[in-house]
Amino acid sequence: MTIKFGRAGLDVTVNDHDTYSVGGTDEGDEVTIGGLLSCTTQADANAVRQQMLGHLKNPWETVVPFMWSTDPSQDGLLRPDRGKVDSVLGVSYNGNAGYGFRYQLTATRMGGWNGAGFESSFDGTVLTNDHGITVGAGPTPWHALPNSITLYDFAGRADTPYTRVGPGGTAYVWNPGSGYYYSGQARWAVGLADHYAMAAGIRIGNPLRAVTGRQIVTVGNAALFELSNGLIKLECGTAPSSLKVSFPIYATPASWTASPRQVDLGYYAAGTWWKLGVPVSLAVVRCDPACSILRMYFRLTFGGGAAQTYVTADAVLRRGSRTIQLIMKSPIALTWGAKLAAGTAMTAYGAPQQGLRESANDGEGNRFVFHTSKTNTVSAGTGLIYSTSARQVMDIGLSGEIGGSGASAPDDYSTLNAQYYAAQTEFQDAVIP
Amino acid sequence: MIRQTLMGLGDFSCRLRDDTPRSITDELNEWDLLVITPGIVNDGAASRANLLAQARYVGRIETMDAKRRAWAGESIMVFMGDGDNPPRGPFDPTLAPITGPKTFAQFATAVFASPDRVGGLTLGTAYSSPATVINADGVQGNEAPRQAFTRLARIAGAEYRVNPDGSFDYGIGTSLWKSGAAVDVLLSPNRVGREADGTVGLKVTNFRAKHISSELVGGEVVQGNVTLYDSGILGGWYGFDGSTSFSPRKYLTTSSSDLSDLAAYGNNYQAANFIPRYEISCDVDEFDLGQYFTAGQPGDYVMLYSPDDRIVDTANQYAFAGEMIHPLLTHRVIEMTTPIQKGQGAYAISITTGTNTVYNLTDYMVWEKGTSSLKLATQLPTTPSQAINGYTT
Repeated sequence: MTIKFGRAGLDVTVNDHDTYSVGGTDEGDEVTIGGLLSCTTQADANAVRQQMLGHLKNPWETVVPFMWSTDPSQDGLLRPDRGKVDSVLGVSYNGNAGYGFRYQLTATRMGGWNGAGFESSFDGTVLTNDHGITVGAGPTPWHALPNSITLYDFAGRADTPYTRVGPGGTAYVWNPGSGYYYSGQARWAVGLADHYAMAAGIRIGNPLRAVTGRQIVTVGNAALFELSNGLIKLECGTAPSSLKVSFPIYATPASWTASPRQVDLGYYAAGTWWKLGVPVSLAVVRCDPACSILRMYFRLTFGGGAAQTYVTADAVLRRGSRTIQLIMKSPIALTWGAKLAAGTAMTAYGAPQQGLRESANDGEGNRFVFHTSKTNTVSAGTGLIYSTSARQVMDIGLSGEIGGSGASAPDDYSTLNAQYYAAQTEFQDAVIP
Repeated sequence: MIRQTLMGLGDFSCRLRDDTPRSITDELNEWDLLVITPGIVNDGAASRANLLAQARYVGRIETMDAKRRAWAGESIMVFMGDGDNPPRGPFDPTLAPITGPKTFAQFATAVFASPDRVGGLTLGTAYSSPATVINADGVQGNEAPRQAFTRLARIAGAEYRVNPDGSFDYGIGTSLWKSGAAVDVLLSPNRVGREADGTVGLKVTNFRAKHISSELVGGEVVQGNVTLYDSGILGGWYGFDGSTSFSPRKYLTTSSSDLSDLAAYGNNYQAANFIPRYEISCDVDEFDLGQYFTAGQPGDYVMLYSPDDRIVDTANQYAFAGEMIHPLLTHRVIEMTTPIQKGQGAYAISITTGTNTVYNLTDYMVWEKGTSSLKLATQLPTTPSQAINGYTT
């Protein structure tokens, strides 16, 4: 018998031997779950423990699905209020040795808990930029969910979503044009089992395991991470020491590319490219199905080896997006930028110049694209783009243009570029449907 | 607790342990200084000048209770004038009156030319100062310098502060305090953390934003007219049927028989009194909260962000923790109450004996627990009529 609690139990099978009680007041909506969980390895048990703790009072992901194979009549959406887990120890389950821990969680069932609905709120505007891109011109905000959703409404409109397919599955993307989705609320519902379909998520460790909440173990994991939404993923490469971006193969979109792009962050000055390499530490800033943000800390030694500073790069990935946005920040202002480690030839696009696009399709028919909202300088022949002026905050978008020279909307570089400026901060919460 | 207010006296209270030696409490008197520092200062370096230079807060002890171990007092701004307004004397007849048209800067310079007037505080930094000329006549007789500064500052569009070291800084609010792009404090219900560019999202534990769209906030009636707070912000007023032309305040009170005056009065009154506004306050769980604010006191503008409270301004975009948030930049801290916490240093300086002897109270202080609290408002009143009614928020 197994349980699934939020992301816990999705990538690791969690055997339970346990207790489930429901009661309290208000039609019995207070749920207490407890007992002893077990997994086959200690690493898995550690991961599950982190996953469970991360769901407690998480400001971004206030409700999570609960599924219990022993008694599926109790499956539903819970708001985890508090809980505790004990240390991991060796246990036995059905005669098999494993690792597990005792735990207890208290949660509240959501209204219509077995079929509750969600509300996604948007309160934003176009990404501030140096290119004269305004709310009224070009970019149109969008909203994406898995194609397995059961209900959808945005302000009484009847728009047709388009689909985006990747190794993680198929996403619906609503992008009806005009200024819809800059503000307002979308209401929708999805089956419990599909709650995390096409969700943005972060995994760390070896093997990679999903993380939740913000307290993660980064020791030894700083280069072992993956940020993915099933359409694009960001990892760390080791040879060379660069970030690694993967996107689907044009002809077989259910497969990741065989040639991920190695991307370096850094800064360029006086003919020298000072690259940041791989992160020294990680922090989860946000991790929920609508959006996951991984903060990577880099140490930079530059200017002859004496000067040091640090840089944070917040990798932002939204559900349904083919673009990873990197927000770089540093205590000092430098001409920050990004470069393809292989030095692949790229071509500038936009007027004023808004980014770089690979000059030729790769063997799978795709092209890699850089975006930035800042006035930039490029070395197109070597795949380098950087801020023209020194600044503390720099943004870089990393996209895979699916189909390259033959790409069509919504996966061509100009649509991806427009969506880069119109991407909105989304907040999901369960509501009474 | 230390309560500090923008351009106000504020107050503090603190308590020494029962086992504080009498050899210390006997040495200290009412009117001595209490000094709170961010950390403990090496005794050898704890001179008056050193302590004041690194102090987070300096107050004047005014009452000593409970075996002289429970103290209360006000900020050192009190040296320019206490809460007695107007002062009932005695007045020093030897000081020459300050008269005639002056800018705020000229007025401040004239006042500080006589240390007697300002209780030994010193003129500090002049920030960008308004050129408005104000009439200084009549200040000498019935106003303490603090009240005169406050009143004239509001007329001139200036603000001032007294730093913990006793220096008096002044200038227009947006140059005296962190504002605009210099703002580096974010207050939001769940955005916490420090950004590499220096911005910090404080750990806010009890964010309250009460939106009042149509409440009487007051206005001064001057011969049938009303002085506006800010004619740029008009709140709608709706009739029972939803009609917007309805305005029940329009014909309420006026002694004027002039109908055009009457109409102007009504419209102005509505504009003045039905400004949509927020009452915003929050608790902050941070050690030594003053470190985030200029001179460790209220005044700075902050970023406020809470979409659920409709506190969003898409005109301001800021990348916080990877996300583009749209905070309000119009609000500032006007009041800050902080506990005196373990880890800080506590000292008294004996000014009543004339020796400026420093007493280290760090071992004897009863440390306070709990969170700090902040009150926020959009702007200080800028005219006397607004001052009557307090802050516009």
